[in-house]
Amino acid sequence: MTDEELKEKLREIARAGALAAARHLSPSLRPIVEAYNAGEINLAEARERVAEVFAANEPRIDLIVKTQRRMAQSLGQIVAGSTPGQLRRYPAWRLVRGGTRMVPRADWQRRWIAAGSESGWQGACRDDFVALKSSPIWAALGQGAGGFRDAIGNPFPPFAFGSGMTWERVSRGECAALGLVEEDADNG
Amino acid sequence: MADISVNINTPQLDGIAKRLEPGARAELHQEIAAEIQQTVQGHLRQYALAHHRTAASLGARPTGNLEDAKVESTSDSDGATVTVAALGIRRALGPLTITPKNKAALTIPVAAIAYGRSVAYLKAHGVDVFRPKGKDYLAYKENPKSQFSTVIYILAKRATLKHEPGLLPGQEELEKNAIEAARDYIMEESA
Repeated sequence: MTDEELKEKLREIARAGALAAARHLSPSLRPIVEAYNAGEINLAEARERVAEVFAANEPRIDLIVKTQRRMAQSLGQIVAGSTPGQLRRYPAWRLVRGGTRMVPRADWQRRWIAAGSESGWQGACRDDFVALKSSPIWAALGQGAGGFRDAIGNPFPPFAFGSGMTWERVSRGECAALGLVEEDADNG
Repeated sequence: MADISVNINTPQLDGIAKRLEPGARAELHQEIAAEIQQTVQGHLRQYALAHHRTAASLGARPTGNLEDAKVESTSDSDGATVTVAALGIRRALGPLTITPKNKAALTIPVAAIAYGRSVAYLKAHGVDVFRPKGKDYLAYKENPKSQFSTVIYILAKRATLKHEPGLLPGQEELEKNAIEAARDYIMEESA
């Protein structure tokens, strides 16, 4: 796959993600989520305004506003991480904890192994949560490979409802050390 | 908008950009913008993980305001701008004074139950929040029959958040990363 094809594929993922995110939002909720995403209102106000629109408990409200915000963050990360230079210098993502949780999920290892097995470990590392940006493991993780029913369906974080796991970019040098790419080869 | 922009303008980058045609300059700026966006986003995540002072002191769950901050970039042949949108992000540039919007007073949470929740929200969920006569705080009774109440919000006309320069990466790191991205672009184009 050329850099240009990969870039287009990643942009397509971002577009599909944005559409999916928009579909899940009713017109009355959209301005609240947008204001929260833009940093115009805080979580307290977002919770209050969502609660005014429809009756829901706090976990459900947080699920709506926080998941939307994390999805928007990931979509921005995909676009910024898809320039030719970024793909060359940082060909992979690493799944890392991006937010503290009272009770963090302890099953990410099992999720990763299940997603890797389902996607044939294409462009993915078995011993570390690292995979090329183009690896199908991300889609498998988002689809809940292994039977994880809390998966959201996106090939980008958050992969599961309420998850604090996110991406950090991985340099070409580290990818080469992990055997994912050759030091100076194109991302494939 | 609660956002700030990151500006990088070094003689070195300026020199590189001036030698390029407008089309190539736009590509260069796009690469620099993408680099800085990723640098800022990674930095905010690390910062947020290490700084949950208020939530931790109250025994509350962090709101995730910084870890989920929206970082965006735009670029063209004239330059690039990276924007960070998060409440309170302007603390990165200096002390930030906040005043109430459409309300008589700020409600500063001092108990886990109030953190990340408004008074209206708590009331809507059955918490009987009240202001004791003549007091500058709001309280509630965990047990309605009890004579004791718990203070959950302090009322204030204004509050000043202290300067937090560590919210953003240092200018030196931003410039170094921007120059690396520019060098990579030039090397690839001339290869």
